[in-house]
Amino acid sequence: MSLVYITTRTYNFVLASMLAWGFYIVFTLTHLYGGTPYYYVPVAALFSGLLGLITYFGVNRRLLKTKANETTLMMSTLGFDLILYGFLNVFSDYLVNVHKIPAKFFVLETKDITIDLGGLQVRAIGLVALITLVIAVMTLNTFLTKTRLGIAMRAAIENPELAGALGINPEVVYVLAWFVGGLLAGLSGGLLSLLTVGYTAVGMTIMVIFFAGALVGGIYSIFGSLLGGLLVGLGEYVGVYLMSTYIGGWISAYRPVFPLIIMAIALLTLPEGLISLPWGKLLKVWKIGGVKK
Amino acid sequence: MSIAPKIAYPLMILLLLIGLLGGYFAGQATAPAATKTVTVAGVEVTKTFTVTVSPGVGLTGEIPIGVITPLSGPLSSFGAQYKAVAEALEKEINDYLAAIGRAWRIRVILEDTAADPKTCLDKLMVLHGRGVKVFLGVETSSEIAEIKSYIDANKLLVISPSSTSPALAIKDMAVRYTPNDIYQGKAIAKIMWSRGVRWLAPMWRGDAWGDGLSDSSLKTFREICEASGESCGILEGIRYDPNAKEFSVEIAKLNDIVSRAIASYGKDKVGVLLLAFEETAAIFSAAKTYTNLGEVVWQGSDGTAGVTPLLDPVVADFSIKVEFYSTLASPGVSPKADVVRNLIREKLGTEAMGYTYFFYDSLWTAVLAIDLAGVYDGEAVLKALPYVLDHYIGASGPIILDENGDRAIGDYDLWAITFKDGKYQWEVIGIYKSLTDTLEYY
Repeated sequence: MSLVYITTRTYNFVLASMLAWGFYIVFTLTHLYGGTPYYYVPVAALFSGLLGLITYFGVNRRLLKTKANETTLMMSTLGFDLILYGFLNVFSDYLVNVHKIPAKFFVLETKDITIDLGGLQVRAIGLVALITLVIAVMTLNTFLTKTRLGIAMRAAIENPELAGALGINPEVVYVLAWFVGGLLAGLSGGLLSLLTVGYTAVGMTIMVIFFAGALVGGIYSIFGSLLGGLLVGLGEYVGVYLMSTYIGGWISAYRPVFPLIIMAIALLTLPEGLISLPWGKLLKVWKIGGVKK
Repeated sequence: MSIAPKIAYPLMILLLLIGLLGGYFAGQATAPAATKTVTVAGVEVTKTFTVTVSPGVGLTGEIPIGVITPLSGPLSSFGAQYKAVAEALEKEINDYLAAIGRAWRIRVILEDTAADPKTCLDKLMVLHGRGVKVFLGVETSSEIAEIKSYIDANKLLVISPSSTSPALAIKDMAVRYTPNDIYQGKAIAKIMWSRGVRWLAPMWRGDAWGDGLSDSSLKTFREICEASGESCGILEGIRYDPNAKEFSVEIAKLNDIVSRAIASYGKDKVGVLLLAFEETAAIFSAAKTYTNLGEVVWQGSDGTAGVTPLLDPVVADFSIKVEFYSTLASPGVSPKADVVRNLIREKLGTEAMGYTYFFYDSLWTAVLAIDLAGVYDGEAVLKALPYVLDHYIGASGPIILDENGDRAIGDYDLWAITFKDGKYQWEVIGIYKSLTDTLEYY
């Protein structure tokens, strides 16, 4: 979401459908061809990347050329998201009626691999998701700071006119941002299929948490979004677990409220997100503290 | 000039009222009491009713009947069966209406609610706008609760095959062909006690259905426990968000509760009561990684009996290991049950669930009540329904309703997953009889 926003000023709600399509690509291919769902996650990522390109060329590019404001850009993604959601429903009906696959509500996490770590049974998705996250962040960081195209992309983000004058084509940057944004949405959708139950509106439901994470961290920063996502995720899971231990099991019924509470607190106290904190100073203070010890 | 209209308008209204009243009473006095023969094609009984039929109020053309049911979402296994039955019955019923010389036919309109209360209300309102006044297939108590004021205000008849919340045992426009959960709660408590469970860890959906069934189950279990004088009780419960799609936190917490109970009372005395829908597959997937959760017995309910996702080998294994038994209102013994059973086997390749028999009966009895009422009006059809039910023996046997329009007697089949002929399948392994308060295993 942050990547597309900082390049094209567009709050990209199509990510919800891109994620859901990634989810369904993995589910469908697993059903049709067997094997572990992990095989099909790259296919899901590429498919959603293509959806990103379709969204850019079909909707966003034209609006950017007419210098549409942020609200128009955002609303256009909401509309296009509903179109893709409609196609996903058609696709799921096709799976149900033609292939007799229970595609309206399914549980793919049963296909996950269980790893035995010294007697402790751990599902592979926990490790795979973590490793994928680290690789994705490192790759994105390397791309943006070490490659010519990445540096050009950052230049175009900072100052499109100047970048254009220096021979950098902003169009390439926008295309790349939409493709990578879609790719990451499809990747997360594919991996999420091993974590949650599946249904066509899965993207819309999860989008709220994604949005909360991006806002908490700072939507203008990729690393801020990552930080916000971690905080919201930990807040929801660890927070609810601890509260259910000390307050009671009934608190679990209110679990979806936790990310929203964290988002509200963050917006009230840090409107620009966690990334706006003076991290340099904080780290310095922490470092000095460490020396004193 | 200015006085004339003041007198003329009231006079005109008065004359109009006199005319209307006079016409009404004259019609009542001269209308003959007609004898109407209702031949119940879908059932075993042929009965003659004597009813007063208003002359000139005949039914003609297509009468739409709304089937608003979960074709997607966490109860889609049920919705798929209702859809199969509705599609098959539409033709059968229309053939029947043609055979007895009626000038009207039914048209079934299917809509997907995804078991979501708001979607259910939206679909109901849209269909009402298209002239539908009788609705079937509404699956959950949460949906009934959501549509209740609208159907009462607009006099729309809803016959649910499966809503069971005791909180909805109200005399209104919603009729329920399954017994309410006060009966099921007693059955569940009795079954768990007879399975040796003395310390019960409940986990349930935080909605109208889950809250109602957990209340009645735990209340009865507590009563049995207190009467027994044994060391027993109810452990801390987990009430989860009904929209939850991932259960790692809830299952980690459940494992804490069960592990402590096993350490204190022994694994043979501890059991888990899970009141959930098809998300049970995700719950089992998370639970199977905890050793202690696989060491105790689990009990389910009508929300889990016969659901397809649990037949996935990975969770089916766990289900067999923890002897996960689910209660479902028994359709009873009826020759017509075979019709439904064979239909579902032929169309979907699975076993018919108890509520499917109730749905079959809801469609037939709705049609017979419309025919008996002689008018397509929700309130009139509701009034005609008891006369139809008095003489109806359908796929779920005779239907006796209590004063609130809920099925009065509840026996419960005990469903479990078994492994036979190289595949997992749902099977009825016993029955709880409410009249005798006994449990029989087959």
